[in-house]
Amino acid sequence: MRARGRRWLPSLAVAVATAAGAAPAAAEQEPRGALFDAAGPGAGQLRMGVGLLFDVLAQAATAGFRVPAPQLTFDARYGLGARGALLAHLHTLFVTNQIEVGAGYTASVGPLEVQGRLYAGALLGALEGFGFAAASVSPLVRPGLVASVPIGTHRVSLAGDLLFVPLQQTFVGGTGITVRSFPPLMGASVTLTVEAMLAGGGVLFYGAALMHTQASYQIWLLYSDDPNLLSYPRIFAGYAF
Amino acid sequence: MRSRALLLAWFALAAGPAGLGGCTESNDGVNPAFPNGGLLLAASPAPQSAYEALQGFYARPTEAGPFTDRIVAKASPRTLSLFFDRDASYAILRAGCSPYDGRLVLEGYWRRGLRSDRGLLRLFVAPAEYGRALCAGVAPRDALPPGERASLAGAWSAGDAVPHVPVRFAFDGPLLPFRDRFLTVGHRAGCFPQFDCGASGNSLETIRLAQALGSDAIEVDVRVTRDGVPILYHDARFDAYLARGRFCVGAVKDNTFAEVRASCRLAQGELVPTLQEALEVAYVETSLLGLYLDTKTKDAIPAEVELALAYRDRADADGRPFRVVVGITNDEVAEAFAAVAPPGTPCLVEHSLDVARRLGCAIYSPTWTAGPRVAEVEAAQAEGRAVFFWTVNGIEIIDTMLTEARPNGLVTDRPGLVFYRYQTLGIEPRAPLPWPGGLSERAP
Repeated sequence: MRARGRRWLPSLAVAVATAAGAAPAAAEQEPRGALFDAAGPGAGQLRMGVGLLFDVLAQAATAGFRVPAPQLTFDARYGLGARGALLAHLHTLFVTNQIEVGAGYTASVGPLEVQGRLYAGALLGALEGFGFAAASVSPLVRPGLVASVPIGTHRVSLAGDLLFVPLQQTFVGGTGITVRSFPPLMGASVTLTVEAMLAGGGVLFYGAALMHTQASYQIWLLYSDDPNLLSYPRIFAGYAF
Repeated sequence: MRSRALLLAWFALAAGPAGLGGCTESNDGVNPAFPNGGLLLAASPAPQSAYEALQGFYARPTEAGPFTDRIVAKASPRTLSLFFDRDASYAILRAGCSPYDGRLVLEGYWRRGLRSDRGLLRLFVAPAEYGRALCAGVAPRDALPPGERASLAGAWSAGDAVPHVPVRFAFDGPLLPFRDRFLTVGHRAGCFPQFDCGASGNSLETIRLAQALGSDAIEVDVRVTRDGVPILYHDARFDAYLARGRFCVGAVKDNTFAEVRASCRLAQGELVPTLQEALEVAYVETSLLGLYLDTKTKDAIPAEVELALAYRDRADADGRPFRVVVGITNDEVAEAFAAVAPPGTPCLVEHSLDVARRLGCAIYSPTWTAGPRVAEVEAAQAEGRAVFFWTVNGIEIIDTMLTEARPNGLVTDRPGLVFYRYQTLGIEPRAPLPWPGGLSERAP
């Protein structure tokens, strides 16, 4: 079952590459690269990773409420020609989700590979019960830069991202409320990621981030209107295949 | 060159959170003050009737700093508060009568509730004869010369600078009735820690400030120490974001009250108050209509009931509408309440209208996160119950709840903004507020 899935993925990659204008033949020759570092997979190559992410939320944002559950993550990156890349990201706690697609471009800057990237997507959430009959959707845009350096079989990347959310469309008990009263800069983050290139072709990744966001990003269930940016750490780890 | 630009951009982004730290406008707890006491130092205190006379809507004809086109002025004991839409901003002013020319002057500070911006404001009541009449205690309708319109004219400044930027607010009409119709209920006494108001939530200092911030009543959180003393504190444990002190650790229920007193200070340095202290300050030092006790543990119920009944009897004897309302937050607390509360104990139920009916509680207080619940609100109000939603902060959500649910009150961290929106939207509840008489509905 797993082997069949692995055969299927390159086929998809080739199909996407063809649609994106890359030469299918080149896909066989390019290195697969890592998932998060700036260089990433070569043209026609696809990396997908799954992992866990844990936010140590600022208690001022959650009114003392603790969220001990980790979130599931999914990332994908497909190498285009001319050092471009298609990107996808999801992290989910089921009641709250961040889902994004994006594109990036990589350049060499001295010893570093530097990628500029732009994600667009949405924050989605829904909860029925526990005093809630609520759902929300917020469009988001996340521009960022990643600088990476290879160290032996590892790839070390430092990323900076800004998160913009222009509005939140909320539904409570069937009543729609469009919330625009918060500043559109929802937050920013600095993320350090280490990727270990395994002999079998997979990538083990782990890292930490310093998040600096509005309370309503940290825990949408409170619908906080506090515009101040509160700091908290995020840790994550996973495997890319 | 291009490489350098890219690297610079990257460093700018990577350093983003640190750089944006400047946007994290944490509360340093300091409100601006006039140097040397301002004009109020030499002025005689204005009578309370002057504050009441100045209550109302005001329009601002010229663009000026933090102030919106329309403001709401609300009087409380020895304070006139101005509320602005923008960022839940407000000004807290005291009034005095000048010993030199008899003019009525208001001085104080303004703050943006969602920001750290703050400054000073000095206003004179105009026309000057009107101010002098108010200082002399003349009834407002007799004090204003025929054909004249009252206004507040003066200057504002940012920070501690002496006010120098001109501003003028012209009286634009009276307020809607509120204390017998709609209550603005300050959550944790109306000053949650991450919001700027200069005092910690659940502190005596915030209770003293509550009316100036816009509240007519307040909600406070009640927990019990190991030796059975009910105190005001929200969380089950002492955590750094609410309390400070090297030895202020562990669960509230594992500390004696003496340990809490010795070890803990609230975020702005205040003592953790007992429930008894809080009620006494609210009763003696404010004209709040009452407190809604958010019962965090069923162990607090016996003390809450005893105090609610004691203050009911005291207020009745003093002819005041003050009430302490026991908040029932879940079925376990409801059972504890039913076991000890005699008939007539003022109570409020958060989690179920049916439980409110069963216990005979006159207030139903659901969370807004399941929507305006229009049918349920109508049913409760038709039964003579009041409905308060909690905890409603964002302006869009405040407006939706006010216009669709038409409740008798909102529990909020932004009392000034809720009061402002209630007044400017002009949509009143379907039924009057059963306060205080209707609060003792519970049948024998």
